[in-house]
Amino acid sequence: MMSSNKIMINILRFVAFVLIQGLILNHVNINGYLNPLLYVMFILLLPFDMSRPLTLILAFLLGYAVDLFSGTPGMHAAASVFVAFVRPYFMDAILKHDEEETGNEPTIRVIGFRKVVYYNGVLVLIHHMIFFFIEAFRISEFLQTMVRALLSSVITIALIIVIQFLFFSKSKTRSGLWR
Amino acid sequence: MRNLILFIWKNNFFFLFILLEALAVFLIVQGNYYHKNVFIHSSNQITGKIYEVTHDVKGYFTLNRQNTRLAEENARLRNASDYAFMESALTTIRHEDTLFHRVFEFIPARVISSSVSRRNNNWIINKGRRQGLNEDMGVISSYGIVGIVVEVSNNFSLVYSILHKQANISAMLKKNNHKGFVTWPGVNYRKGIIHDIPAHVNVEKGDTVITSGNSMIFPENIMVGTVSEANVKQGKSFYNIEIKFSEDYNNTEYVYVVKNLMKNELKTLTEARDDE
Repeated sequence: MMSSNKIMINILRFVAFVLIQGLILNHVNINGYLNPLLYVMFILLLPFDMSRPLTLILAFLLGYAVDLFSGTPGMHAAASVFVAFVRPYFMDAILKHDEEETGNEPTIRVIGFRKVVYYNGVLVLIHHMIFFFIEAFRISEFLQTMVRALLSSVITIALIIVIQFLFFSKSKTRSGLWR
Repeated sequence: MRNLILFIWKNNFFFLFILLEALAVFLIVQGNYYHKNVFIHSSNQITGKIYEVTHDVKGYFTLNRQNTRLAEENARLRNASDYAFMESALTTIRHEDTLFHRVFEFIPARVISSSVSRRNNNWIINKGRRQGLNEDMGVISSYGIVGIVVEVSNNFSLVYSILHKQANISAMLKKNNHKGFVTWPGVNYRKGIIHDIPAHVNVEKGDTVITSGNSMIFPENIMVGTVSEANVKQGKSFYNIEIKFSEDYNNTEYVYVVKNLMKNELKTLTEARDDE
């Protein structure tokens, strides 16, 4: 189970990711094409042993909160809930048992660079695909939607890796909001 | 029954997943096909406030550009107003004008949340029902059309910008009044498409596209954009025309909401006809 300290940190993260997404990233416009959805990192950062139903509910709330900022009812929520659903199966598939220690989070320090890229990469891609296809909802724009989803995923993944290096790479030496 | 409950309880993860996805799909469908979602009424008061605060800060960075724009517009309006003209002959008599009737009223507003990078770009403006706004009013800026109000709360409104999947705006070519409708195909926020211009019409690069005034939403003669590419595919009877929007939607800040004062009259007229 999570300590109360961990719960506080996760509440702060939740608020921070929603605000960053809603107030900054939603208005970043790269080439009129790309729209990184960094908030999904909140779900990906939850501890290994997080209760699965609770993960789903948190994902729904997170997606819905971002929806409120984007004026897209339900779309972010649908994509987030799906990611929260696949996450445990995917973690079981790529991680060794001893890595899934109680209370640990899937960070660079715990599972290493390669697995962080793999883990975040696949799940972010799934999330973005679902979101952009729900948003467009047209077969005639298939290729264009595909390109948008792919390129946006690349940016999101890059941002996640940068954040991982900045805040999660060293062990206890650094303290701050994110630990 | 007991077994069923036990089964659901055992697989609670899966069933909760299905339940939440169903809820999300419900929200999507409701939000997209009926604008009457509770969504904006309750939550927009909150997010609207947050947007307004952050926008107040962001507003300072664009002050210069926006001031220039407003000054240009003021100059244009001054040029058109009475005191810019001298009476040409002393014999002219001024009198109260009863020939013209006011049709459109313009309400100034500020865009507090906008985007151009999504497939459906919903904007929020800082005027609402209390300031006299209503659903289906047009929104324009000093350079061209912006979108249509789809939801109003007390102090804010949700606008479908023209950069939206469902945008469909009646427009025409200025030089020969041939009418069509403008949509946005996505990707590039500077480019749109005008449909239904027949192939026999002469269309050239640089031609001006304006609103047709057919829709009761926008007045006539509001700029939409200029033709940037026009061609007819072999065997087709309509043009493929790409237009460049006159407004740069990435820095739209001050807009005017268009209120059609004769809308009810026009509406009852068309409805009376439909009822027959």
